[in-house]
Amino acid sequence: MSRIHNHQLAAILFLSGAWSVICIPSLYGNSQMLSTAAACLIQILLCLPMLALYPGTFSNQIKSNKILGVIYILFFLICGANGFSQLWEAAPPQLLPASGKLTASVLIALTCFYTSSAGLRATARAAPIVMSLFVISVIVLILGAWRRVDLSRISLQTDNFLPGIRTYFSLSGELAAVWILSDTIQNHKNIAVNSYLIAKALFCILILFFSITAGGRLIHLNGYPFFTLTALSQPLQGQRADALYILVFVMLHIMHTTLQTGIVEHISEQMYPITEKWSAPVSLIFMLILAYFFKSAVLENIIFWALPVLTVIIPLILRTRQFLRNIRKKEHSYEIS
Amino acid sequence: MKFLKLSVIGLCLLFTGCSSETISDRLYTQAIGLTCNGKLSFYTQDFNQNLTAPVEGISIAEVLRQEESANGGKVFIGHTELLCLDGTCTLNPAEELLFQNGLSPACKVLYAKPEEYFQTPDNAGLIHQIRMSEQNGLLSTTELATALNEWHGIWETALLPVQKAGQSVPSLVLLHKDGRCTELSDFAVKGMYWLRRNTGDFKITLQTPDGEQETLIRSCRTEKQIENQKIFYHVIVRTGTPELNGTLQRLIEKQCICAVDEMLSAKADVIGIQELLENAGIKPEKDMPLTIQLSVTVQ
Repeated sequence: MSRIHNHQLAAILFLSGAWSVICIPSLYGNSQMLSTAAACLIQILLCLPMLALYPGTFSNQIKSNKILGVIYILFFLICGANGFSQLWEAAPPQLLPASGKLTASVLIALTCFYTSSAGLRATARAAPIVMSLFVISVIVLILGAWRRVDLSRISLQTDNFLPGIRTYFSLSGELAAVWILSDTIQNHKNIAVNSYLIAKALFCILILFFSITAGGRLIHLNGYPFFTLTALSQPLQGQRADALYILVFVMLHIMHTTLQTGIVEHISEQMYPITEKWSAPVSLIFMLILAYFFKSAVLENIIFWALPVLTVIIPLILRTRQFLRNIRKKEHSYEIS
Repeated sequence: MKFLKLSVIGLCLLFTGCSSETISDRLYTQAIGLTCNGKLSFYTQDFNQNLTAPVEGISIAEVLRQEESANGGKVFIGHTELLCLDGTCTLNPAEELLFQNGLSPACKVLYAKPEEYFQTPDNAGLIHQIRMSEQNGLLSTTELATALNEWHGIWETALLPVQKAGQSVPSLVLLHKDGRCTELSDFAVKGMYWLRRNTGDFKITLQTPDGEQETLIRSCRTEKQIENQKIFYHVIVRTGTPELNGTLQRLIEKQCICAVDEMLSAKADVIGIQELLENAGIKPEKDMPLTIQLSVTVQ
């Protein structure tokens, strides 16, 4: 696979993460903003040492250890399926005008098949363009919500702090993609990963802030704070902003699913080069089937428990094993000499 | 090849509005009305001031389907400027209209009987009247999103505009969850303006010993705090004529006291008391005694 630039990696990871943020199912309270910041800090603290330990050789480990590859493939399939599941559960009728949610999902899956067929590099190149559209929509959302902001709705609370952290972690499946994609960028890996983590946390805090201050009690009635916010944020009297939100909503889902499909394709190609042509359609079908049978709460639970294993424990074990092997090799060479 | 691809994409973007559906196939409502006498009755008027015969159903989805069948076109309520409700329906269906059917959150909610209002409605005129009254400091800003927020508070009341017979400027009422409605006096209506979210930049006429005099309200804001279970509301107004500040302060004080008294006696909260209590760690209860101390500073 060709190299991906830092900013492209940060953009693609952020857009995939932003999809999960807009699908946050409920708001626990004001403390959730604090939880998000704390969760982001934990993720940075966990990722930085691991990135330093792995200077771009993780894919080689997967190549040599096929069970590991299968585990990662399963995880990314679950992440992709969670995206479809979130789409079915969260999408309000005005943001998904296609006839039926299943039809919409199949259409999106077809688009993802097309986008992933061009490879992860092409998707990464498209990410900054989607990012600019996304930023415009967020500005429109803020402009619409701004006049409804009532700061008296904000208070310092610490209850429900831990559920907030859990929610944020369960919506960070794309974090595992850092390991797979890390050897596709040359330098400054840390900058890309940190930018993505901080940008995602800031976006999440922004959504929570406007949901609480502009939405008030209505946010708790409807669930899905972002979608409630889009219903309340209509900056122009004569023109609705729904079209912009639909565009971003669909694009974020496509980026999220394309990333997961692209990574599955990348891993399977490395393990079995013969799977190059059919791994994308098979993984998309598998994601749709998984999403059909499992609710997003179940899939998010799996992601929550699997994420630390895949991003910290497994890389740590592999690195320790590699380190011990190197020591043994050195000892062996000393003995021979 | 790149140019060809870009041209195709560009052309596709030009045709985004093309479909078999034409604009005449849709009913763009300017005002809608709802009553619930056993069944839900749905009234509509479009932007050409055309009234449609009311339709009935057991749910919002059903009345919208009925309306579509009656009009031979899809009903789009996303641009609706006025929602007319009475005590039979209250604000209960409004939530579904907002979140499921894309009703505008800035839509004005008028308290009136739809069967009477939709006899000879003048929506454009009434909406204009309400907006101008809000701009001129005669009426506190009310809209669907704020009304629903108040409605879901512990005191379950919402402040809505009403068109009283024989009055040119709309007034305000407090609508309760059980369908009761408390009309506010003219003084209380003006007091609500100072106590709720407000902007300023309008002129006000004051009665002084030297006759009627005008002053410009540059800005006004309300500071709220809670100390020893006592609620304090402090209204701060900036004017353009300092010599009239004393007269204006007395007037605003009277209006605010009147608004708070009428609101508390109606067991309602439309000035953010619940948020204030919650932020202070006090769990609000419907029957809890409330003491509000008001002060006004005119600068």
